[in-house]
Amino acid sequence: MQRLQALGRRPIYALVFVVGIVAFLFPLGLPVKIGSDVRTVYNALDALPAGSLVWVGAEYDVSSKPELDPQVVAIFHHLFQKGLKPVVYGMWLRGPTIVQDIVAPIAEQYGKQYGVDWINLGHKPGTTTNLRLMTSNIMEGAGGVDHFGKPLADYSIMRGVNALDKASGFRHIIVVETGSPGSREYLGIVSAEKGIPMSVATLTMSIPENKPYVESGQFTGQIGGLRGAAEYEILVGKPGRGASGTDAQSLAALLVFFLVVIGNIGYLTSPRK
Amino acid sequence: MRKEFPMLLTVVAALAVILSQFFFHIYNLGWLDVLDKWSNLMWAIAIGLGVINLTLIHGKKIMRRAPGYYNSIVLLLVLYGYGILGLITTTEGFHHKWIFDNIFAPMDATLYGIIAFFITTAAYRAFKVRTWEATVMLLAAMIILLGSAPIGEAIWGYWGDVRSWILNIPNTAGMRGIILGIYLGGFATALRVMLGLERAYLGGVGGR
Repeated sequence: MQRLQALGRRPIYALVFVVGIVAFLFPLGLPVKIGSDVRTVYNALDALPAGSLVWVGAEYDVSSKPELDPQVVAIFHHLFQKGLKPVVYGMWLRGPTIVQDIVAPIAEQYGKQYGVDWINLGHKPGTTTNLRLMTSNIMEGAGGVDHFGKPLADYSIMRGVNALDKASGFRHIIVVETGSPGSREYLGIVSAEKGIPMSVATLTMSIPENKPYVESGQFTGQIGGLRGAAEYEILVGKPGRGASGTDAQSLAALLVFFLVVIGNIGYLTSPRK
Repeated sequence: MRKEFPMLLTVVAALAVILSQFFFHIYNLGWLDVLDKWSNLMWAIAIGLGVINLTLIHGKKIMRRAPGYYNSIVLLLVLYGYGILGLITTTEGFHHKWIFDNIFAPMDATLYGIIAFFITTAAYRAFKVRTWEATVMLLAAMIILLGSAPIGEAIWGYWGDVRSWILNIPNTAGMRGIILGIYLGGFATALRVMLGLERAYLGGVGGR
């Protein structure tokens, strides 16, 4: 029994690998219950009138793609279904590039035209100071050009959009984040100051640290990890990678639980506790 | 002056930002916008400085044939090669994007994915019922872990509710304390910088 607490690393690595493969080959299809944090985000966006601008902060990098990409897919399905106009921007260098690749095919699916129904302002250097500049002058903050270096003045969506504020038509902010700069910066610089409600799409491990802001109402809600993505996919009626990924998550969680239990049996039966 | 002038600049810039945030009339003077633009410029300069610094450090390593100098060659080749390619083709150019999508992105995602293996072994070794405190942490971790995936609710219908309670009540209370502590610490540090008590940012010039 005592040996149970002395399993080597290699068998555990092998088990994690096998669990991942099994989940991939044989999907469990477990039902996903919609949590209140995700539902509030969905309801907030759903209540916006068509044509409203929604600022999407693409604040993540490739390492977080597996968890955050499915969230972005589900969110943009919803935005386009409702006729909302997303404006993508990134303090993180590669965020807007990643989101561009995801959104372009979805926009095409809904017949949405770049520069008319949505736009990508791209990454601009300066992180938080540039974000603040956006709240007073988008043209200056974006350097007058979009993600592709083309003049913003050429795009009809930017007509009358002077700053990241309510007067320009922004009704909600969604920050897809990995860490800092991310939601906290948006909260202090934009949401609180300009009175624009904001939601967060984040990694599973960031859910606890965002909770105080959700509970206080400073964040409308949060979409957390693959589970959050799966919930949002169900709400928008577009099951995708979030829903299938939760199977792997379920099995991996079960494996960790099993290992912790047998490790503790080994520990408790050991004479040298 | 090497000490006093940077300190004076810091105090003036900090006061301009603070006063602009608290007083509407000062905000309307537009100091914040000017400082934001200067800050953006400094970001660009900082990137240039970083490139020069990397070139000097790794250039010296290569010249001295220091151990592992071939890694420095690769680093400089990638730094300049990929940078120049981006300048020529833009970041959306086919070759630049191909390298990013097919080399950088999979490698970065792989490194992140490997964490799952480490976390599993770490959980197996660390989560032991050694003390009461450790037991409470173990129980909370297991509830959150299984509740974060649909399997928790498949095992027991209320698993998700228990997870939500832990996150909403004890977690929120604890996190609020931590967040307040962090911001109070940040405020105290900012005050020390403005009063000239904290000089580490001067990079050794007049530092304590």
